[in-house]
Amino acid sequence: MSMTRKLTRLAALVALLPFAACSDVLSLDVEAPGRISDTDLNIAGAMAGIAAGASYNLTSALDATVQQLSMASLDLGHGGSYDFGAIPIGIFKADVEDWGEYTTMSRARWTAEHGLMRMLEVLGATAYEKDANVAKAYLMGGFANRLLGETQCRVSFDDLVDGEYVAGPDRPHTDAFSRADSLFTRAIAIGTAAGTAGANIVTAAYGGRASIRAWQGRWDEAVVDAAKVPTTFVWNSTFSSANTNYIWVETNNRREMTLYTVMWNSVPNDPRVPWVSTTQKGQDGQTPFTRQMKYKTIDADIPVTHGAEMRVLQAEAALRKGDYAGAQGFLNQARTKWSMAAITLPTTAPEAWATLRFERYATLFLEGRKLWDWRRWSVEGAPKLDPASAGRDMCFPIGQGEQRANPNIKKGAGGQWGGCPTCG
Amino acid sequence: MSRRASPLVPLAVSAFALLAAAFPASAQEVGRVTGVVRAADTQRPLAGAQVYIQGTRIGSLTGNDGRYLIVNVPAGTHDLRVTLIGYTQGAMSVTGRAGQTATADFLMKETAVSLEGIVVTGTAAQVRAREVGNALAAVSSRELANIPVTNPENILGGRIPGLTVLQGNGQPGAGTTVRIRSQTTVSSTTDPLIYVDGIRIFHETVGTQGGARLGLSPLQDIAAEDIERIEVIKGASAATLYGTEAAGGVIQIFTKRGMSGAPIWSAELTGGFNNQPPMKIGNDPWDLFTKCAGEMYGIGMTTATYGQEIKFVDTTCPESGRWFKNGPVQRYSLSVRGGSTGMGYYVSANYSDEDGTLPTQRARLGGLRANLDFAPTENVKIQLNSALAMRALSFVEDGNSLRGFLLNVGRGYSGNYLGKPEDCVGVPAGVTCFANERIWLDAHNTTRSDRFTTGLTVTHDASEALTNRLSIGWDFDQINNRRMQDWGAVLTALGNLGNAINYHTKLSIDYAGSWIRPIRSDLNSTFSWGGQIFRDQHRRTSYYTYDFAGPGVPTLESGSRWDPPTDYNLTQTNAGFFLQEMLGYKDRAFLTLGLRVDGNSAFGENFGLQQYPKASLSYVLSDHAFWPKWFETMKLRGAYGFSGKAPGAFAKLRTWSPVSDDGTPGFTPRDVGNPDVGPERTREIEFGFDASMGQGRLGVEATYYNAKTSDALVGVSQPGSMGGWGTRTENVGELTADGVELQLNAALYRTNFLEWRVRSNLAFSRNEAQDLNCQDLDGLPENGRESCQIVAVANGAYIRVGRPVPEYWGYKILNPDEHAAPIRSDSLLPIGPVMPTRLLGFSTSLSIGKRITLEALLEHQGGHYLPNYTGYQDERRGVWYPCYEIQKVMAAVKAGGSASLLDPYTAIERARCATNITGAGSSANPAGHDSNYWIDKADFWKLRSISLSLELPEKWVQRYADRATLILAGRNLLKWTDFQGTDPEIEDYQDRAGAGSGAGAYGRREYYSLPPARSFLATLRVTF
Repeated sequence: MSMTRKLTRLAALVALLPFAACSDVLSLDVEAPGRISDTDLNIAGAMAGIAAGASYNLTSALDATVQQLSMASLDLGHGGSYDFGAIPIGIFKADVEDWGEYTTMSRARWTAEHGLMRMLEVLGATAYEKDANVAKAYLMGGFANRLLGETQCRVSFDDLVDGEYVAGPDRPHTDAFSRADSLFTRAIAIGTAAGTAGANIVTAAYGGRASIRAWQGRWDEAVVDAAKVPTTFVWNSTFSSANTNYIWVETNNRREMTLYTVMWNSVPNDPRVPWVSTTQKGQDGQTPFTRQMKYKTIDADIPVTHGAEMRVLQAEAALRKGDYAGAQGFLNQARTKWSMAAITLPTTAPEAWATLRFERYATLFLEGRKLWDWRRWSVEGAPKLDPASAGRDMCFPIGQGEQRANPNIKKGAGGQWGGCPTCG
Repeated sequence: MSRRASPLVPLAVSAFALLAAAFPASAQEVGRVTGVVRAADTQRPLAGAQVYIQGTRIGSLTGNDGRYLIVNVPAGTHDLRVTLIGYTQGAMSVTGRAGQTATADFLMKETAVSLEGIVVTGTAAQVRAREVGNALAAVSSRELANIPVTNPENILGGRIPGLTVLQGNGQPGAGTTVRIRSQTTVSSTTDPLIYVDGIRIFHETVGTQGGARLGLSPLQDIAAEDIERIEVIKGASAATLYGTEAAGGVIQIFTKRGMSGAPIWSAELTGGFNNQPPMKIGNDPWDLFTKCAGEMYGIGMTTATYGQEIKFVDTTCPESGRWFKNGPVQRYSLSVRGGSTGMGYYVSANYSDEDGTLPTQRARLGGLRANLDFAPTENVKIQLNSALAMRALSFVEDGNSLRGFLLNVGRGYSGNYLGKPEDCVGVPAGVTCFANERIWLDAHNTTRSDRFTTGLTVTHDASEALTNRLSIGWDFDQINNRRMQDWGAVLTALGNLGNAINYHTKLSIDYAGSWIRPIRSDLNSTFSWGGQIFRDQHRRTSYYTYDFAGPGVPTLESGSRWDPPTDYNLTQTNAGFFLQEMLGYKDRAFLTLGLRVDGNSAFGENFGLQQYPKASLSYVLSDHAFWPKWFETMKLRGAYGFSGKAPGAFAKLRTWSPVSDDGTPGFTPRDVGNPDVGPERTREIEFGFDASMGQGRLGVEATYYNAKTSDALVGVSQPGSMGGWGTRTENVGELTADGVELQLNAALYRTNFLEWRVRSNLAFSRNEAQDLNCQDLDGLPENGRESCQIVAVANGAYIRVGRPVPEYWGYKILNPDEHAAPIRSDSLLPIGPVMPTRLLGFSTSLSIGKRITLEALLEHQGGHYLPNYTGYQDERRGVWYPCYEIQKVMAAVKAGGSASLLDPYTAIERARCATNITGAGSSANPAGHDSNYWIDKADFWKLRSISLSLELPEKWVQRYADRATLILAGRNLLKWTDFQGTDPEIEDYQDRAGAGSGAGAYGRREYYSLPPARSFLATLRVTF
């Protein structure tokens, strides 16, 4: 054999060796430890994680949304350099990409609702009906729908069409309340069946359903549910150093939002609305900075439903019936949570409603509920209507992102897409 | 600050000594060839020419006197060749006789366009420039000999038509943005592929840890001293054989190699300093308060203080009255190259240490390289290349950072740290006191990077016709970014430490074969085939800990609290093969047809393989007898081909991320997944010509290209109501791009004593998005497709159908030049492209006598825009000097003065200087503060470099060396621009790093970013 041929064969062998030695090199698979394949979640052991994921997504939605809702409803003023558009001045135009974090709110809803479908498939019907994780996912779905219904002018869901989920058309925001009512009801049933593990879930679901039924005008049913929530009870969206509370970040690490320009700056020493004044300016270099102190740590939790809220809800129900004494009683029960002195509710409607509004705002300070209160009271008019809400938008249109991506949301009257801010 | 010599230096010297001893010129020499190589017209000796025996590795380089000596020449007749860029190839037959010395002198004919130069195309066979149908772009070491460059980024800027190099940040060690031709993607990286000596290395820019806010480019790891030449493969039609990922072009770097002969040592010592030129912002006397002596003032911007002068001082201002200082620079390099029969070596070491113009800025770079060549038999050649590169960088906090230098100093009385009483002794009442140094010196940003690249290439000439080449390469780099605030820092009293480590490895196996055969006497065929596998592993881990117990140098264990660590880990493979046939007719017409087929980990399950065809034609018209002799060279060329970009690694998969719900593990949506996703394909057509005339005095290269990316990868927004999965990568876009590139080389004056050359290149480019998932919403085709995706890019830039990619959009003042109240647009309007659309590089060299050469490079980039966030943020705080006057006038108007006081000011001046201090800009309040008004044209001219080299007389150096050259040089000496920020080509890189990969990474913003310093350098280069 000639030297050339020998070397040719040698070269061929050398060429093949690395291929043989590194057989995994020939694999075209992506190796990415850390990300979890969708199909890997189809086991019973993953169900707790699915429920926790739904809870995490609700927390994330609240984290993003409560900041905007608080500025929109003058719980907080803007004094920073972040661009919040016209939210601080109460204008929510429909040309913005994602008003009010529609995507994060929808993700919270979707992960709960679709998580439940996966749970049913994996656990089977019998186990499903008494599983605390299932109850928790129902609860998260209920709160996510309530958040959508309270903040959005109109909403959209994914619909099952010919066996496939597609993005559905825009609908009245009250459809989200109907969905929430159903989800809370299932949470109560399954949580009850789950026994001790589901006890807190059941109480929270009563709180959620109470508010929903009130918004649906079913006040009598609402107070029945509300009564099942003790004043000291709180269901929180939980933050941690891994999932930080950005209201804290933006009012401690930074000075983006201030109480200086809102009514609370003239309400000192209310334990429900804690704040401190500073000599600093906001991040805009101009606005005096008053720091909120409700969320004092990076992992401070945001209440989603609580007993004090229920007492105020019961007070409102009583006031709607003209039961001033009853309303006063419930308000003072709520105040006991902070060891506050009792108040006397005025006996004229305008003053009574003003007091109730103040008590509700303070009780739910920085919890992202005030804009909805403005909205629902403005529809009912005086004496419920808060004059501070006059001329301001009170719900978020469906943003451009959803409009472009969802072909079933059609252009509405008046050039608005997906509903107008002032629509009820 | 004490300086210690790097341990690399003695190591390198020892290694060199060993190598030189191990590979002496062979004592078994059978004969020698010597001679002198001169320019034919001027008779000037030519240094650096390669003289070699064709088909062997036996050869040598000419010295300063043009003389060469080749030892170990086997007995017999040989084909002796000489090559030198800028000259036609020389050839001569020479007979070697044992123990004797033959003489062969060459007279080289200059040419502005060399058709015989060997270029790299991805095949195994060597290809002459005349055979290539694409535009060729190269820079050789000869052109770099006397200019102040340190890495390929410096080399390429302004020298290659169509190649954009934008400096990212002014700090020593900062990387650049490199882009070849127009952007043809809306979601993938635009960084070109990088090959070093045939081995592909990790090619993407990596951002530093938060505070330094700059990017680090892998090109910075290759020392300029080691580079023999750089070839730039532009566009999809030229890069077809490189397959998926090559649509952004390819940069091929070739380092120096050994040649037969005695060792030639080369040493360089450079000293100098960096100096910060004034930023020249309007008539600002304080140069953005970097001149800090005495009292300064800003304008009050609250309702109560509006228009008043707010006085302030900085008690930590240096005695010099200016924050910037001169930063010393020292660089050293040493190399040796040589070899004997059947082997060659090139070994080098380099070390540099330079300070920036602010304390804590320091860049130390070091590298070792060993390129070994063996020829164990006549037809087997082995190349083993290894390189180690080290960077130890220390940065000042920069950009939009709480502790940023300019963000604090440049904000005047609105900085983030008011002096404490002990800082402010003696400061009069009513004057605000700052102690800025306390805040920005508290932050420590460092980067340590290490890269090791090694490659083995075996070339086997099985016969004269058949060549096989196998390359196996491994590239590893680790970048450790660290950001720390000491315990006791003014804003974070307990301190904190963040650490992010990026690891990349790339294993490449590359085989190519070529079979050259004559089909007829006038028709030759070169058939090539090959395959490549690239296996990439990326890992990024980061940690953040805070609240230290006390002083000292902390580690990650020192904190009492920690954020959860992050860990990104990914392995991807790309594999493909190619076939190519090139037909050459009478050695003047060449037709090339090729096909590349690729598979990639990122392609969807339903996608399969991707094919990229190519075709090119080259025709050397000047080889015809009818062609006029004075018109020496005319090559027509045209090419058509495809290349691609792979989707992101997870585009095909539906995945979930692990999350913690108050300690309970859970899952949240991550990647929605698209099993049908494939690569985007860029088709490019280019044609042009290369011509030279006037005895090589004038050369022109012109190219027009037209590219179209179909199936462009677009992150298609998913409805939030479908789960909030974000975007799904789909092949639903289309982009077009075209451009013209022109290069002119001219020897304007050429005598034996004086030679004046110019080289200029000009490029115009444009691109446009044609389709971004456009949908026909109303079902009426006559209305067109009403809804197209709008891809949001960072910093106010977007990608929109019918517009340049990417482009800034914003609310505009519609009557900018009227002396009237501003009128603002009701909607976002296009402002201008993010990247330059005009490039002009102009270099010139003037050689006087045999010893003096003067060289300069002037560059223009234009047609693009850049947000001036320094101006915007300073204006809204009343510390932007160009606004002082109008703001005072407005205050007077508000205080009851006549509105006519504002008449001298245009609408845009009133809007930019926010004559309505309350509220943000809006249609109702057009003169409110708004960053949209600060997106400005960023055209600039820069004198990138100028150098004067003096070759020292032989009698001065002959006792120590063969040749010594003294070079005095300057970089970044002058700048001309109307851009009002700190510099028109820099950016806060964190904007892009924060956006991650994809379209978000295309946006740029100048945001309290330090401009590049100018450098003054003196270099002594010695060969011996």
